[in-house]
Amino acid sequence: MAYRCSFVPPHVLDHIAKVQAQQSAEPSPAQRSAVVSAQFRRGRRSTDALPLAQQRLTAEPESVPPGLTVPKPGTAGRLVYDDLNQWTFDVTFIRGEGDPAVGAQNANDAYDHLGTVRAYYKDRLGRESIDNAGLNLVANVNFGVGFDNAFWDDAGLRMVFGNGSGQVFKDLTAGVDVCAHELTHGVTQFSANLNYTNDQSGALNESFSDMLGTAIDAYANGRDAHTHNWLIGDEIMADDLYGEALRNMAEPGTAFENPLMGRDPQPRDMSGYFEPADPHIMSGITNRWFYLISQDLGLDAATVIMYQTLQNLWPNAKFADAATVAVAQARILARAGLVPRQSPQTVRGAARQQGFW
Amino acid sequence: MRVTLETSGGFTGLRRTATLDTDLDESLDDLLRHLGSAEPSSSSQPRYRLTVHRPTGDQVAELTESEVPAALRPLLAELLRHARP
Repeated sequence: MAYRCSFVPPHVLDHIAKVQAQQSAEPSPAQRSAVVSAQFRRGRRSTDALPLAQQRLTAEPESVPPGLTVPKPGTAGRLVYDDLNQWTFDVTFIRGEGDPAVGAQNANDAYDHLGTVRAYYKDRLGRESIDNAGLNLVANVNFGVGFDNAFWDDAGLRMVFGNGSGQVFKDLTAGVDVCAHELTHGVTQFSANLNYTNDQSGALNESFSDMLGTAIDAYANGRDAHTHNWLIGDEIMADDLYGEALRNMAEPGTAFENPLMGRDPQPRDMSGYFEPADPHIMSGITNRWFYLISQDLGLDAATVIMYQTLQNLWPNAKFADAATVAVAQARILARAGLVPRQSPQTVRGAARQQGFW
Repeated sequence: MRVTLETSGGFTGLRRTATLDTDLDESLDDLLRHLGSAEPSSSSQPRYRLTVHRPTGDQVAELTESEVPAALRPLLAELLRHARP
C-alpha cells in the first residue's frame, strides 16, 4: 500500500484556509489542499477507501434493459436502481434520464427528487451536480428489508433509500428533504469535506445537509422562511407517528417524543453543548443559526451565504470558523448586491444568539 | 455470547440499542474478531457498533452500512428487530 505524507502540516493548511476564506468567494488553494489532505488521511485509516479520483464516477449499469437510457458520464443524468430488497447496491437498473415513469411510486419519487435537487443546485447556486462537474446522480430504492434509513454512500457515490419498517418510518423516498439532505452530504464531500466526527466538524457536516435539505424542501413546496415548517423528516414518519419529525430547525429538541424514538436530544444553543456527541445532536445549534438568519434575510439569501460558506470551509472547521467564514461571505455577497446589505450583522447576531460568536 | 448493538448515522440519525444472547458459530466469531481490529471510517452512513461481551472482556467492532459483510446480516437483522431508543 502506498502512503503519502503531507509536507505542510494539516493545522497550518487549515489556518491558511481560514485566513483566505475571508477574502474571496472562490475557495482558496489552501482550502483545497486542506480538503485533499484530509481525504488522504482518511484513505490511510481504511484499506477499503480510495481517493475520490479512483472511485467510480460514471455509474454504468452492468446490464441495460431494452428501452432504458444510460446518461453519458458527467452529464448530471439520473439513474435509478431497484435493489429488490437485497442488501446490495445497483441490483437492477430500472430508469435512466428522460425515461418514462415506472410502475413503482418510490422509484418515480426518487427520480423526481434527484431532479429537484439537481435543479436547485444549478438554478439557484450555479452548481453542476454533486461534484460541480456533472456527476451522474444514482438512486437505489428498495434497499434491504424494512430498512429504516437512507444515506449517501460516499464510497460508491450513490443515494440509497430503504422502505422503512412501517413502525417508525415509511418509505424514505416520501420526502424531498431526505434526498436533498443526503445529496448535500455528497456536495460536502466534494467541497469542505468536513470530518464526520463526534465534535463540531461532524455537527457542521450534518447541519449543512439540513440547511440545504430544508431550503430545497421549501423551494419544492413553494414556501418561504415564514411559511416553511422547518421540520426535517416529517413526511417519512409512519402513520402511527403522524405529526412527529426527526429534527426541528426552528426549535431544536422538540421534534419528537414517543416510545419508539425516545426524546429529541438536540440542544437549542451552546448552553447545551457537550463533546463527544453524535453529529445529529449538536447540528441543532447551527440549524437554528440558519433558521434565525433566514427569518431576517429570507431563505434564498441565507442559503446562498451558507452554500458559499460550505465551499470555503475545511475538514476540521468548528462553529466559530463557520461563523467567521459566513460573515466574510455575506460581506462579499452583499457587496455584489446578491444578499441584503445587513447580512453580515444578521449572521453575526444569530451566531451570538446561538452562543458561538 | 451476549452481543450489544448501537445504531447511529444515516438520514435519521436515531440512536437505538439492543442486547441479545446468541450462539456465535466459529466463522461468525472469527468475523467479529476481524472486524474489531479494523479502524472505523469517517462517514455519514448508518453506523453499527457491535460489542461482543466475551469472558475475557468486551470486544468492539464498528462499521458503516456499506461495510457490512453478508455473513453478519442475520445477526444484525435480529439485533435491529430488538433495537429500542
